[in-house]
Amino acid sequence: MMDKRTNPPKRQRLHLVCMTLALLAAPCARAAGPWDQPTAQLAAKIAEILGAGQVQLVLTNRSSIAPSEIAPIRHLIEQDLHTHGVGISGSESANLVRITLSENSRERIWVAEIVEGNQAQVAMIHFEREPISAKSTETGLILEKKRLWTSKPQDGPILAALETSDQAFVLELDQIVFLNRTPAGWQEQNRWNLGQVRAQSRDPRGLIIAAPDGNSLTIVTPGRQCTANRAASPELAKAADEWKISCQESDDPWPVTTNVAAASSKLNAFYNASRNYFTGVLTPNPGADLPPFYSLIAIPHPTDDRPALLLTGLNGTVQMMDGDSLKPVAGTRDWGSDIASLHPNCGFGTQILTSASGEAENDSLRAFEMPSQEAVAVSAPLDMGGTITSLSTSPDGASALAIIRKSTMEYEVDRVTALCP
Amino acid sequence: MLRRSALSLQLLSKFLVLCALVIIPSSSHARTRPHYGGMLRVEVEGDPLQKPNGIAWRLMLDGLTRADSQGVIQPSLALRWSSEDNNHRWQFWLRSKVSFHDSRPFNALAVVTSLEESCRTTTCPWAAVHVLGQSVVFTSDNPIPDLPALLSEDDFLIRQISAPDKEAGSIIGTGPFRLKNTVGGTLQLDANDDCWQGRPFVDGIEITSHRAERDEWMDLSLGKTDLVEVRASDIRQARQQRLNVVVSPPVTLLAIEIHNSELTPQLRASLAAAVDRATLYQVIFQKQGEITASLLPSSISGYGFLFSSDRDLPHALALRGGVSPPPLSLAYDGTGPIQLAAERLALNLHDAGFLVHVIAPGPNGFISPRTDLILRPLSVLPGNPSDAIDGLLRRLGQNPSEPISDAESSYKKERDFLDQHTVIPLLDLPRAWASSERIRDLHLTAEGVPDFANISLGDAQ
Repeated sequence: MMDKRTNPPKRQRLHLVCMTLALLAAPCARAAGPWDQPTAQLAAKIAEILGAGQVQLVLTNRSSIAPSEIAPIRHLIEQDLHTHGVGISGSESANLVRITLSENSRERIWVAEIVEGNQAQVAMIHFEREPISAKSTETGLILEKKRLWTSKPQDGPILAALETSDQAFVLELDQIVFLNRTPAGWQEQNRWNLGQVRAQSRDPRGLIIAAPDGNSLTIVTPGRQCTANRAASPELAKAADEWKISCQESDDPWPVTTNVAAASSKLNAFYNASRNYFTGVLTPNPGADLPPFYSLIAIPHPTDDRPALLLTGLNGTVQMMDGDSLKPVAGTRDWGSDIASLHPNCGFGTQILTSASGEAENDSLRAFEMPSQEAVAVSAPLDMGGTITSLSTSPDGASALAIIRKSTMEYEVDRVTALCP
Repeated sequence: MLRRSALSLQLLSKFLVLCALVIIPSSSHARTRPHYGGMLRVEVEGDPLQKPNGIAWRLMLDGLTRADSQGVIQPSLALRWSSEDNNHRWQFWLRSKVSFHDSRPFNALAVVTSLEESCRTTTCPWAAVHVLGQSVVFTSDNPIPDLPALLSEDDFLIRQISAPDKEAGSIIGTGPFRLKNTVGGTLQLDANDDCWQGRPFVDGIEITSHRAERDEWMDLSLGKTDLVEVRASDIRQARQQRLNVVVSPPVTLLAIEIHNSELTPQLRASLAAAVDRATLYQVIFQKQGEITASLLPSSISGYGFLFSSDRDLPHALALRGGVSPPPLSLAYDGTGPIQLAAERLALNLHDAGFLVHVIAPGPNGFISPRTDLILRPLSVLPGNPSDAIDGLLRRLGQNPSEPISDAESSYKKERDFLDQHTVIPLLDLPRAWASSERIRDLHLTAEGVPDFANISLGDAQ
């Protein structure tokens, strides 16, 4: 009887030649994809156990990988096995490789059960899941987020963040962190203790406001206010040590309309330091009594030169101060408590960015326009992967910074930008 | 007669739930940031202060570490830690600016005193723990690779221990709630305004203990309570009654422990092959949770399918090989569905030629260590497989050795242990809670318990 291994028939020789050519061409034709590395790793482990030869391959998907991805993955595994001298045969083979694409709550687990006669061995690889795209996808404005900073769980909550052209600042419960721009992103340069501040609220809030010239900061936390002044020489000032910071206990009202250019329209609001909201008392008095609120922004008035005030109340209502009266805004049923304004060069020129809820584990952001007393959604929701705890407009108005609390109690600072269609 | 009244009660319960659904107005406004204030009312079947897993302990006490909702070990009262000497020596650096409910400062001496007290009632894997500045140092003759995970468990929560407190039986910790009093089976807790993690949103919690599940559901329907626990076996029914149910991932492994050391490996393997997990899952637990033959649930390991969970009666009979095994006692640790499961398992084993008689737990849940088989729910801490498997093995009386580096070695460790057939895993079960409309954003911790400190009430002002 002819030995198939040592003396293959003509047809099989032809097949081997074709396979070899295909293998030689494969690296050129194959663009690097998310599955290339894991399939190569698993194939190497299988080959290490099995050695060269023929196997029957059975592939099962028990993971969240889309069914459309399974055939390409199988193809890659077959290719990778071939490179190790393992050919795929039919059910006539005595050897069986049963591959299961599985996963746990953190990562993907791919398991190969290699059955040779009565003996079975197991090989596994594990790798991180692919990151999920972070772009809203409907027509209209496209919201895009970019992660700027992630805290460590022991650092506690991030209360506020501010990004300028050359520096960024992150406000924690009792520290301000100075970040410097590097090619790899923002890097921590220094931390400055703001004095002993205890956690007074499980939902603490704060503000960082930059002066127009960028040489001073106002830092506000519940019951405390700090001023940071930059050293006169810009070269020296790039080092965080050149910031001079002074803090004091303070119940002064917080600046809440920092995005308004006209000094006459700037408003300050008193904050309830043992809770998580503003009392409704503003200085100077805007002309009407306001209820307690979580957020307040100034937006261009549809008909008047003066900006209109938009506020989110404790009961979930969104109201606009129009002249001397407060009017409810229609179309805000899905709004959360945090709002910020954006000024991309499209649409009505000003969009309102709003969270979808106050405590959901998978909060989202969405852009709205207000051509009248009604809010109209102009973007799809952008999934933020956690609870939004703060939303603020950047000094140039082109983007907003969102602070996200993750389920692991890590906090993340994301820059959210609206891209015109 | 009794059956008829039970049926009437069930119908009344359903009617009241429907009434409540009609009466409760739908919220007309958007959701907001959490509100402060209000009293949270909770009813449980068991005792909130039972050891070690009563739900009240974590409301009053913190651990040196904690498991986040993904089961990853995070800093708590300890800010950081490191190990030396191949996990024989661990040092934990403590958080500053923390005080106990009685305003006394939290420090290393308090930690050492508390842990020494814990070791009086629990087996501690370390030989000694001592103060080193603002840190505590654990030393041990055996490596303790999972010590950070172990210190997150209820057994090792930190409480103020002093002579007067011990006499008074008070519980003084650093947690978000402080003990107010216990009145007629109701535990009353007040918000800790000075909590280092921030004051909780609610002003207080009332936990009523030893309530029958039907009574809990009735109270929830009538608005008399806000939060009740739902047994895994009743999740489906609770949903049918339109209760708002939140279900955790699998956090409990229901398993049979084989304590009779005279049973041969073949007989133990025969027992494992004879159990019918599918019936337990479908009939008793109403398709909640997951069938398993592995220690770790697939959500943690990802390889649970490698352990065959199918009943194989011919194989069980073959393994027994005509040997007449001695009569076996099967005790169960629990009530309701656990008892039903024990009775069903006894029938399964009878099919394979084992004579099994079921024994109810004694007063205070006592189970004799001489019992041949014990059906027991074992808590599984989600997170990395290494900590989860070490925690489980420790509960099963094993000493974890080397830390597990990857999924393959975790699988091997599990396989080696289960091949001894001293434990037969059956089901991975979740924990579930039903809540009233007042409660906003109910999240469960890694242990499947509500994160009480971060619950806020929708009607609080």
